[in-house]
Order: sequence, then structure tokens, then C-alpha cells
Amino acid sequence: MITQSWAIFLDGYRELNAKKLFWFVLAISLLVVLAFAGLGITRTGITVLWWEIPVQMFSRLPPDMLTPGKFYKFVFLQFGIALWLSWIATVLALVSTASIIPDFIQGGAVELTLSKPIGRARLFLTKYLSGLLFVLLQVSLFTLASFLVIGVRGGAWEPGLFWSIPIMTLFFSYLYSVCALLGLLTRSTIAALLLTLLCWTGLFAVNSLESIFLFVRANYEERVVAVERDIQRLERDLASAPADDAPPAPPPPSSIAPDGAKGGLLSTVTDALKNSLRAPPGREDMARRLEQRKGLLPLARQDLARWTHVHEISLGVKTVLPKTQDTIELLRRTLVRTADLNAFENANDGGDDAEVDFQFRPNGSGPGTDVRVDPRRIGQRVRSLQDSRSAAWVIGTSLGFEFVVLGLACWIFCRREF
Amino acid sequence: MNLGVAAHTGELVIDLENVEKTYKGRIRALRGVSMRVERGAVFGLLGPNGAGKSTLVKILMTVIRASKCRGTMLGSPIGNKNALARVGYLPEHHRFPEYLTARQVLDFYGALARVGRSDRRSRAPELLDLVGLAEWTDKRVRQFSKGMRQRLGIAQALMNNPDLVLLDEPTDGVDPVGRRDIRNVLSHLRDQGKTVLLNSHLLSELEMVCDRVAIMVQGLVTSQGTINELTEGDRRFEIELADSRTPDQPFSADLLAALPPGTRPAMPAAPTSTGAPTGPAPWTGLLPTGERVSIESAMLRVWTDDPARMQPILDGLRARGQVIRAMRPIRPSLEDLFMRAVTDPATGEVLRPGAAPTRTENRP
Repeated sequence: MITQSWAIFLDGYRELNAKKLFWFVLAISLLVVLAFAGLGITRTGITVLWWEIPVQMFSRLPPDMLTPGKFYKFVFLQFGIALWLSWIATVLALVSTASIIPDFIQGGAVELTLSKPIGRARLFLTKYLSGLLFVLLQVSLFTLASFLVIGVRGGAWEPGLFWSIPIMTLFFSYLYSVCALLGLLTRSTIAALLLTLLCWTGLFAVNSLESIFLFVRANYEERVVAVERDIQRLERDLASAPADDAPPAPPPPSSIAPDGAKGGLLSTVTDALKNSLRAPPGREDMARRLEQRKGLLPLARQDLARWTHVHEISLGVKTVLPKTQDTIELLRRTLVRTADLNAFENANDGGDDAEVDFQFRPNGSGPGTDVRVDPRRIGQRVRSLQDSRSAAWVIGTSLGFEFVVLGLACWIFCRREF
Repeated sequence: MNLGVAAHTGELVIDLENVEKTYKGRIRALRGVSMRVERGAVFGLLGPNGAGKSTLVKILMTVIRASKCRGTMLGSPIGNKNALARVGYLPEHHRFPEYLTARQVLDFYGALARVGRSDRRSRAPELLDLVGLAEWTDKRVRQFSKGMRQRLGIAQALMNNPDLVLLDEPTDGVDPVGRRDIRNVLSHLRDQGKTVLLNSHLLSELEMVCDRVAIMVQGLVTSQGTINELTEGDRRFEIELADSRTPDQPFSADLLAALPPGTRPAMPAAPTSTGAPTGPAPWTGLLPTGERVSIESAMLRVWTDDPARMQPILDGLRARGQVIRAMRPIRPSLEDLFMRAVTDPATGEVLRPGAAPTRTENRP
């Protein structure tokens, strides 16, 4: 049994070895790593060989964030994994491996293997696994080279990088299972490749839609929280405010936050904040705002419920499908702490902790009323919701899909007359 | 025809009973094939295109599944993996991975056939030498000609030192020298006591190497046995005489008179699909000893393979002053057998190639 499986893997390697694309991708991978090694970091910017590109954001980062080790890990994740391996190398890997199953079942070839004393299911699955060798070898070499670069150039020997080998192979296996099934059904390399790319686009769309709906849901959750917080604050202020000598009320937010561009909104909000600091609102105004907020709360909750429902539907669809982006996100979780990422984003946004007001217009009509929602809080909430999805859920449900697809392919392969 | 004595033990290597296969589209490729192959035999399977030969072999090798199958191969039910490990198979139109060298091809398929690593290493060069590819051991298959691929295919089928070898059109695309080499390989296998099932269109090739044959037509084995057995009823002697006929005579009356007393006419004439010439209806009859006899123009035919039976006839002809130009024994070739098998006895026409659709059978 081991002899047969090993022979199929060895044949798979020889098949890849004979493909020019395999060596082409490997050469580009090494070039990417070399380019990676050519990058450096200082307190003021990024160095590319002998040139330095100033980056203002770096001055806002805490010193412990700006270490070469973290910088290289970040570059490895953002460019090496998220761009090169997840997209470009994956497309090239699919181009290289899409022919494996159609060639395998080609008339004249399949009879030779089917006539051997090996079960059809095992034959097919071993052949499928041998197709993953392409990515396994490419990612292993890329990661090893990156590990050496990060260690030598960044001074950080990060064994966690090697998680990218199983994770990227797993990611590719979702797509390759679909490709194998389509190759088996159509017997055509081109059809299998194009349809797999189409499926991948579909998966990307479902994942992106779910992320968008999650963002919208998080936005509404934050709005509900903001309204509830406003109500509590106003009730507290109202209870402690003097009854008679109320100072003149500042202009209502609706009047100082007209519709318009974000810049205009920000400036009016800033003015309003300044006004409110200069002149605390009167009791009557506070009561009016409290009523306004109380009126908004059910509408906000209603919107939240609606978007929660929409998101749950999209999540349900996503649950049964392979989670390509979430799988790669697992690698990010492994290599970069969420706190570091948040700090990095804060620095990137200018380090301003001020909240930004957004228009809240229930049902798209009625008087505009501002609700203060910090977009970074939304981002962090989204990330925390995404991070709350366990690796077991991400991998387990994706593998569930893969098993179903492979099970179907195996069933077809076992029953087909060649 | 090969009349060499193989070490047949009577043990059946292939024993099939009523194998049926109906493809989608209701094409009945096999309609109840029963076939027996003894250990040590070189067994030829012949038939026209679409007769079901390759389908039958594929069923034995589990490439396709029979609709109905009862039987054994190497003593195990069809599909048994341990039995398959003892079988070598060369499919028709096989295709090896072009990126492999000849040695790698043998190593890969040998490993799939559960051959151990050390055995694979030792057998590969031996087999490549046997099939005449020793100098091509480390060349990639993409550089091989059709004939070389066939030779490599045969070597591949022998990697597991099989007890039974199934070769589907092994001489397809092979030049005459290559065919002779393949025949030598088959003789070598027979000498080693291997059983070979050979599926070929080249009847002369089969005739030279096969001990037994089965003829398949439209999904059925119409006849099987040794070539001697199959041609037994058609062996005859032909006596060619000087033509002494008058123009209005289909044959000379003296010829009839020269036959032994007690010869009687027999009607109707036997079908002439076994090689007898066509033309004016010949006279046919039965000798007193029961052999069939015919006279056609200046040719006298007697259906017997016993030369002693011919002596009284020769005496009679000489006594009548007939000039005997030649006498020769005639044994039908495999091609004659084949043509007889594929000829409709009712119409005398060659049956159309292909399998039998079930629809036609249901017609009245």
C-alpha cells in the first residue's frame, strides 16, 4: 500500500518537475523573497536597497511596534502571503495542476492504472493529494527563504512562519478539490481551470459580501451602543443639571451637521464639540435630546435586527462553503497580535482618538440626527467578531465542503466506465 | 499455426460464464460470453471491430464493470485485487506519461502492481533488454516511436512477473521486425509456463503463436478451441486434374465414374465460405465411407485429412485415364475460420461490424 502511494506521489512530483511553469513560479517566488530581503526599516521610513522612503506614520508608532522583525512579518503577510501566494501563485498553481486529473483519466492512461491492484477511491485520492505537491513545495521553499530573510535581516527567527505551509496548502486544497471534480466531470483542463476560477470568484464574492454585511451589522451594533450610551449620559446629566438657570442651548446637532462631504461634517462636529465644551446644554435641551434618542433607539434596534438577519443568512451560506479568506486570516492571527494591528491602524489613521459623527436617518427620512460612531471601533468590532471564529470552525467547515466535493468526485470515479 | 505443446495442466486461469455488458444507450457489448482459458496456454481472442473483445478484457481488468458476470480469474472472483496483482495487462492505445523515462515507466507501474523496490530495480533492465529497448532505458517516452511504446507496454505488463498476461493488440503499429520480436517474447512466456490472452486483428500473428482461440462476433463467443479442433471439419484434399471437359459440361463425366462404387449425390451443396471457389454449382456427394466429395470444373475435393482415404480415388482416376496434375492437403487458415464466423449463414453476407443494440433484437 505504501509502495503504491509513494509511487503515485513520486509520479506527481515528476509530473510537476516536467512542467516549465513549476520552475517559473519557483523562480518568481525566489525573486519575491529577494525583493523582500532588499527592504529595510528605520525610525523614519522604509529603505529599498540604498534608498530611503520616508513614512510619516512611523513617527506615530510606539517604539516597540517598529522593530525589523514585526516589519518583515507584516510585509510577509501583506505581500508574500496575501498578494503573492494567495492570488498570483495560486492562479499559477491552478494553471499547472488543472491538467492532472484530466490527463489521469485520459483514455489509454487510466486503463493502465485502474488495472492495477489498487482501490479506485484510494487511487483517486492519492492522485488528488499528489496535485497538492505543487503548492506544498512552492510554499515550503518560499517560507523557508522568507524565514531566513526575516532571521538574517530582521533578527527575528520566527518559527510561526512555517504555519503558512499547512495553511496555504489547505487553502489551495479547497480550490483544487473543486478543480479535481470539474476535471473529472468535464475531462477538459481548460474547462476545469476556468470553472474553478469562476467558483473561486464566487467564493470571494460570498466571503466579501459576508464581510460587508458583518461590517454593516457591526456599524449598527455600534450605533445602538452609542444611542444607549447617549441615553444613559443624558439621563445622568439631566438628573444632575440645575432646574432653572439653564444657559442658552447650543444649536441642535441637526442644524450644525448638514448633509455634505465628510470634511464638512467633521468640521461642524468639531465646532459642535467646542460649543458644547464652552456652553453645557440646558435642561430643556437635554430633555429634548433624550426624547430624541429614546425615539431613535427602537429604530436603531430594528435596523440592527434587520442587518443581523441579513448577515446571518450570508454567514449561513458562507458556513457551508470553503472559507478562503478566513483561512489565510488564520495565518495573520498566528503571526501578528490583534493589538499590534490595531495600534498600526491607529497610527495609520493619524492617531486621533476623536470620535466621528455619522448621520443617522431612520428609514432615510425625517430630521437628521447625529450618532457618534467611531469607525475604528467598528473595525475593531468586526475584527473581534472575525477573530471569535475559531480555527476549528474555519477549517472544519471548509474541510467539510472539501470532503463533500471529494466524496462526490470519488463516487463518480469509482462508478465511471473508462 | 503453432502446434507446440504447452504445459497445459487443465487448470483454468480464466473461467467465465455468461458475462454480459450493456452500455448506456442500451448497446449490448457482451451478450453472455462464456470462455475458458487453461494455464500455460497462449489464447487468441479474435473478432471484428466492436465484437466486444476489448470490453471483455477490460471487465477482467476491472476497468469497466460487467452488467452480469459469473466466473473466476486465477481462481478468484473477477475484480479480486490479489488476483490482479498476478496479472499483466497491456491496453489497446495505451498512453504512458511522456515525462517519464522507460525505466521510470516500469518502476511506476511495477510499484502500482505491488512489486517491491529491489525487484523493480532488477527486473526493469532485464525486461527492457527482452523487448529490445535496453539502449533506451533512460530516454523519455516522448522520444519513443509507436512501435517502441508497444514494446515498452509489453515490458510494463511483465513487471510483476505475472501468471497471466492480457495483451490487447500488442502488435498494433509495430513493424515486421518488431512483430517477430514480440512473437519471440510470447514464445518465451509460453516456455516459462505463463498464460497469455492475446487480442489481435492480425490473424496471421495469432495463428503463429496461439494454442487456442475464441472467436467473438457481436458480443458472443461463437467458437473456441484449438485451431485444429476448429478446422477439423474443413480439412480436405484437393486433386487438380487436366481439364478434359467439353464446353457444355460443368465437369467431366469420367470424374464421377472414377469415384468409388457406392458414392451418392448429396444436396444441397455445402456453403462455400471456407475457401472453395464459387461459380457454376459443383456436384457434391458422399463417399461410401461417409466423406463429403465435390467436383467442380477439373477440381475434385474430398473432405478428409486421412491420406489413406485418397488412395482408392487416385487409383480410380488413373484407371479412367485422368491426368493428375497435383494433389494437396488443404487446411483452412484462421482467416477462413474468421470469415466463416462473421458471415451470416442465411444470407452469405458478412455481418456488419459493431455491437448489438438491444433495440434491434426486440424488433420482430
